[in-house]
Amino acid sequence: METAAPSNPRRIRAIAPVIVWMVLPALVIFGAVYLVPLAKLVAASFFRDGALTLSNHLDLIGSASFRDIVLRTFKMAVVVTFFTLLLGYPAAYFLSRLAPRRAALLLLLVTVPYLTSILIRSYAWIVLLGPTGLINRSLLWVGIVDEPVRLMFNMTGAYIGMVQIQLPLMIFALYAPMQRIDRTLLNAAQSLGGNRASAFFQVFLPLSLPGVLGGSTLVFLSSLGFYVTPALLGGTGDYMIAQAIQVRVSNLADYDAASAQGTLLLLVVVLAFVLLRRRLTDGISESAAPAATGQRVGNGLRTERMPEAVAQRLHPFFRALSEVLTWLRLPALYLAMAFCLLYLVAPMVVVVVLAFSDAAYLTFPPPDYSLRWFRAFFSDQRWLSALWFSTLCAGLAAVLSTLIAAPAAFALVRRRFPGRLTLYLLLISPLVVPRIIIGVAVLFAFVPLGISGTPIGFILAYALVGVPFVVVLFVTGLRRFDRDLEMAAAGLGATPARVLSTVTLPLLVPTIVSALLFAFIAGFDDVELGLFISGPNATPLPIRMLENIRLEISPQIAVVGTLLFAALIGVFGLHLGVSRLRGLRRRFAKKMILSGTPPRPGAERGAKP
Amino acid sequence: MTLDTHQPTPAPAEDYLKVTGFSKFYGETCAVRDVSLGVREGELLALLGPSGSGKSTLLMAIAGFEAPSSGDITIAGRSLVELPPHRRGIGMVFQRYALFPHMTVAENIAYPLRRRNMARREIAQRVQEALELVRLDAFGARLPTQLSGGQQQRVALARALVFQPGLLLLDEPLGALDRKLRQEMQTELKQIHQRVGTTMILVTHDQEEALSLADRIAVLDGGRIQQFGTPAELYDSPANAFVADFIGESNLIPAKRMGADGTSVSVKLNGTDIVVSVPQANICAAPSDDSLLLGARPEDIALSPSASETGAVVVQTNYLGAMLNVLLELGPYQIRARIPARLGTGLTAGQSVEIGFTPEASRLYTAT
Ligand SMILES: Nc1ncnc2c1ncn2[C@@H]1O[C@H](COP(=O)(O)OP(=O)(O)OP(=O)(O)O)[C@@H](O)[C@H]1O
Ligand SMILES: [Mg+2]
Repeated sequence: METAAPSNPRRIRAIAPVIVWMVLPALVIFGAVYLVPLAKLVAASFFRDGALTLSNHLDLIGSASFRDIVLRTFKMAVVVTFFTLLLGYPAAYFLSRLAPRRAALLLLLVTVPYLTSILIRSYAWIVLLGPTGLINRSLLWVGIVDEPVRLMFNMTGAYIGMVQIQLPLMIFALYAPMQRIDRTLLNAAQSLGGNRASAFFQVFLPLSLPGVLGGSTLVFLSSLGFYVTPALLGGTGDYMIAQAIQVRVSNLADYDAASAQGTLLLLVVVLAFVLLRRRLTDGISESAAPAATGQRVGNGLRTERMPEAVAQRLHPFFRALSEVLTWLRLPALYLAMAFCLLYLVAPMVVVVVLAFSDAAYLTFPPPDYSLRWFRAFFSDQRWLSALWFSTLCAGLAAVLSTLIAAPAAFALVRRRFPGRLTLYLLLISPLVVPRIIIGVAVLFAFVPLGISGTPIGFILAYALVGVPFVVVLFVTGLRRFDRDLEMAAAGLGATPARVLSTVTLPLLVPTIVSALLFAFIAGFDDVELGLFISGPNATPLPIRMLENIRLEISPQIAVVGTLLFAALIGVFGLHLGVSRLRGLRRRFAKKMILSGTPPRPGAERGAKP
Repeated sequence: MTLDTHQPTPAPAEDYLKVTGFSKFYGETCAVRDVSLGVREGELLALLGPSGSGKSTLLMAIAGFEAPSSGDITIAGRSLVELPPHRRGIGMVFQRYALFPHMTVAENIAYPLRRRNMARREIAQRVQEALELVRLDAFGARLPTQLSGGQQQRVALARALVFQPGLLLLDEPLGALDRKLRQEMQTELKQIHQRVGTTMILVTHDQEEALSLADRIAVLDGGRIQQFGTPAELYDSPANAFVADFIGESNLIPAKRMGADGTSVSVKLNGTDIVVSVPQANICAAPSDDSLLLGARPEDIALSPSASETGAVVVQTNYLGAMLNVLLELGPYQIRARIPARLGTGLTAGQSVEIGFTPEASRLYTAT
């Protein structure tokens, strides 16, 4: 309640401890398994053989091979960002023009790959890009090439895989702001004399730039810390920073160099994070809504200068060009959208088909179909125990992260306290801090406690990476929540606890469910943390899959992928079914109101979700 | 305050709810300043004022959702300030209804009864009675989204009344309804008030609604009470220029004090030769004030044909059936008059007329 306004000292004293209790659990866990270990990592980079020194950093900067690695990593992040933007922009533009209902369906096709494990998607690319893979065979068959092209185990492979993996993120980041752009501005521009293409370049493009900036930052930062895809699809010599750090820690036990590399990478990410904090805290800053509308007004006014601007800027040549673009616009858009969907969905299809292969080795398309790999999966104790371990740990971690992050989100949205924005940035930061670094930090934290390689360790680590999702979802959900309902309940005699249990929580069920789901997936799909903290009795599914991919590339992984896929589709189906049911009820109700007859009470209650 | 003379001062024993010296600050800004008022048992009080005048703030403080910065609020002599909202037992109807979307109409109405651990059988019976009170007996099993705006409004009312609160607060309860439905609901609200006899405070910025529903009205502006009285008191003897203009319609014409005798004060309208002598009882300004505003309601202005060029000129006439609205120009001022139509048959635009201000119906206010 806004009663927290600092007008009444008596109230403040009563409320302050409540805030503390709301944010304390999250702070304690973040401090113990994240902040303190990260600080230790940074501190360790300044020591060698127990002495304070800069030599770790200087050695690194002086080392030619490290410079290569840094350059390669940055180049990779830039290239990946560029291509995701190139593909994602037209796709997001296309989606933003559709009616929300239709867009939702296509967005689902973008979401499902997004939620599919990166490991499985990388595996699918191995199948597609190999010398006898689908792509090479098609090229040979069409006759474009005479012998298979090397598409894999070099940078090309890494790029193809990474762009596919980052594309959904870019589309989401672009879609939301594009959808908010006032379409009448485009019509206005056209009515003032510009053709469609010039209206787009003069009006739509500038208005969509904030989304471009946000999406590019997100993709760039998360590409910097990528591990799995470059490791599986890249060449043996093409190390990225994340791989370099992992090898230092796991294979060479060279903690000094690893912490120095980690510190440098962390520095870059934290700097970018701090520079872009305004953009990132939009969700909870109060001025968010007015700022957005103000911006729209400001830009809307600019259209008044359109005729002049159009006349002056459009040199005849550009006019001709923009006429051509106007013509090509629709076909080009459809083509871009179709390509994006194919690019996103093809790997999924390959995985599902491959799971039913009858071959003893990996070949696509399979010569024959059977369930032999499913049988192999369900009769292999190692697979089953890895699946059980992952499900258990990710499940408990999802519950834990929701329990600690939801109250913190309540405090962030509903109370004003010093350090509020900092807390928000801290809680969402595991989203952008490279997983490899979190992995090293968590390892540093767990070894002294003796919980590395135990389920407890995994639950804590998974909870850590689940928290950002819970926070973001709850902040969104709570901002949309109608506070009048809670006031009404209190006015009708409900104690604060009763208000929470009878009104707030029941209405937040959708938020809670998606928070649990996303937090679960964050842990369940994790590879990087597992690389560091898994042990003989604690092997999660992704680590088991990684081993399998490295040892023998068999259709076994496709079975795992298909099973996870089926689970995901199941969850979506359930969600869709529930909302469909609600839609039916609403239509039914409307008819009732119009005809004035009360519905049968029995039917009413029965349909309640 | 200088307006105390215009406020009825009811015997303290009569007041059920009492607000004394209430102020509310949000940081530096003051939403409500030093407001005192009393509501008698069974009375329907309207808080009337323009947007941002502090109506909701006052209501929220009574309901317990905002703590006063200073001042006290008592019900039946007991201070509420320390009580959390759920222990105040005050019913409230929100502008956007605030019906729980995940509960049926019946469950919504049962909510306050459940919170009071009432027996099932009793709850069912009370819910049924409440539904009948708002004429929605057949709608108990529906969800709020399956009701029209007016029906949702009635459910909100039933829910706020079902636990028989001593006081019912209504924050712009009819604000979201269209005009026709609004009038229907006003009638219904008045009937319900008469039937249940609950003390009610109604927030509105619609003066017609306040005049037709309320037993007494507190007019708020800029966080202060401008006047507190019955609708007739407010309409017939506004305490200041703001109330005169906000309740009904008033012509407010700048005037200068000319002289005074024991029973009246005469003023000259700026820029004209017209002198009006206003009886002492109609003067709402300090004797030291020389710049004043003469207030006259359109229906208290008399028009007569005139040959002189110095009088007022008819700008426009507007026929309303029984009455005729006449817009006039008097020197630099526009004056609105409303006369019986049969007296204005000869009036046309451009015609000069003599304006007469009925002294008993004219008032003098401090110029703001
Ligand atoms: N939480 C708040 N923080 C700061 N100022 C506030 C807050 N709530 C209200 N105010 C200010 O207090 C003043 C009174 O607001 P209030 O909501 O009581 O007005 P109102 O009479 O209900 O207006 P309306 O008819 O528009 O609902 C306004 O100037 C408003 O800007
Ligand atoms: Mg209000």
